[in-house]
Amino acid sequence: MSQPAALTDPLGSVPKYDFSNVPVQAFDAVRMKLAQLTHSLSKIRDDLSKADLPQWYSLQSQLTVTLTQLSSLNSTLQHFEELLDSTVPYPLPHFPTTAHEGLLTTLMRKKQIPEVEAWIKDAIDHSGIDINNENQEDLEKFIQKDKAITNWALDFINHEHSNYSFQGLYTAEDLSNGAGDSKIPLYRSTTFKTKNVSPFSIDSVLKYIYQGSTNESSSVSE
Amino acid sequence: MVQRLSLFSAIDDDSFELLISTISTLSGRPPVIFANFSHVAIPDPTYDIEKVNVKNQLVEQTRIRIMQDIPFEKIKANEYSYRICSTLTKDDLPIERDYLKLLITNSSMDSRPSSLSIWDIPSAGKDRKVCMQSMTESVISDTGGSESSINAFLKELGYVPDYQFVQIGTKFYMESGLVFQVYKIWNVNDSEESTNLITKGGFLIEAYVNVAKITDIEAVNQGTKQLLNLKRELREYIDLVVPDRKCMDPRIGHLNDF
Repeated sequence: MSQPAALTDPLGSVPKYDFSNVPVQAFDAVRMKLAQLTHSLSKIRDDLSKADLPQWYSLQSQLTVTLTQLSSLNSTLQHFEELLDSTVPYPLPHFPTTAHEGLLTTLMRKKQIPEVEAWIKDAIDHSGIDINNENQEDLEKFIQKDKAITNWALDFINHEHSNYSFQGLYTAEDLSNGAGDSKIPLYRSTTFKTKNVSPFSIDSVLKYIYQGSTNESSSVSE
Repeated sequence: MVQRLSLFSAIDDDSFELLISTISTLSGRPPVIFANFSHVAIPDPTYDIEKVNVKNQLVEQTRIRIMQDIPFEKIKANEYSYRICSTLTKDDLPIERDYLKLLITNSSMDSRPSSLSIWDIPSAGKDRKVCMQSMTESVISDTGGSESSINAFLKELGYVPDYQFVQIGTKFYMESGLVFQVYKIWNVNDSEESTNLITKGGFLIEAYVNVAKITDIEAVNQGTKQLLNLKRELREYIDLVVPDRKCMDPRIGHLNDF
């Protein structure tokens, strides 16, 4: 009557899975970046849907933060690109497939969701090129042209940025005219001899007000 | 009795303009120029005044201060703004002596209302953050009789003139009753027909809050807080201090000066 334990209850015992090949580090990095990004994006959305709009500078700083997080996510994804591309996920046998079918299909989905597909299609339509009909050479040319425009825009911004003085008390025009040396502070330090030296004794003046004694007599008594 | 909570300081003449701009900016209030004439009277020493219980300081003699404002048309100046304060650095007053003389002896119809105030020595206590002084004040709108004048009125009370001084300066009415005054004081010497500047080379600064009743602890605390706030804001620029209370004692017979 004795049977091997493994055969008596094959479904009840949990088989030993090998997790060693799961790229935990990569997933965790991407997950953290995504969490940050969703948090900032939802914060911006909440702020914008409020009745009174936030100040422009707070919006701008939030946007800067979000863009930084986006680029950081991008670089993380690029860093783990190969690993993530070659990883194939699959559900474990004890996952309640029937109960969580919706969740499972979402998790396993490799195709873009319809919304994203619409965005991509929209972008392609707006770019004005027909991917299907143009040959590879034309596409390359188009990409080169796009890069050139981007470079030009970057150069332009840098040039404009150098035209203005963003720090200190003088404008770039003032500085180029030699109006002020930005190294010399315009205002003196507040600790420099602003402390008043009392010209007379307060007590002796008050003594005069209340008792009529003049300075001479009060100075004798002091 | 009204309680006056106050702090004092002093600045030199050159700092005046900067101080005025600082306080205007800080308070958002305009500077107000003022000129006052004060006449201080003492009980007539020729009277044999019975000093009841003076050892226990229950009944004390004290000086009376009569104060009247000086109308600006009596001040000789080109413009009437706070700037004239910085031009007054000499012993001479830009006010006619005759006018000042007439102020207390004037019996004519055009005499102006004066304030009569009696002050106590500031409250004692080592750790006082502000100077706290009791005072009582009344307004003399008119004096009666055939030879009526402030002087005659005081004489009827048994008081004789002691000394007189003129204050000219600038004040700011800041929020919640806080008053910030910057002024100079001239002693008006009656016998020598001259004036001499007491605050030579500078201005006296006085910041005060009046509280109607000393029992109104809340108002006293609030006033103290306001003064300390001002003191903190002006820290490193002007040190507002609590003066020696003995210097603000207008009572008679306590400093061997009688």
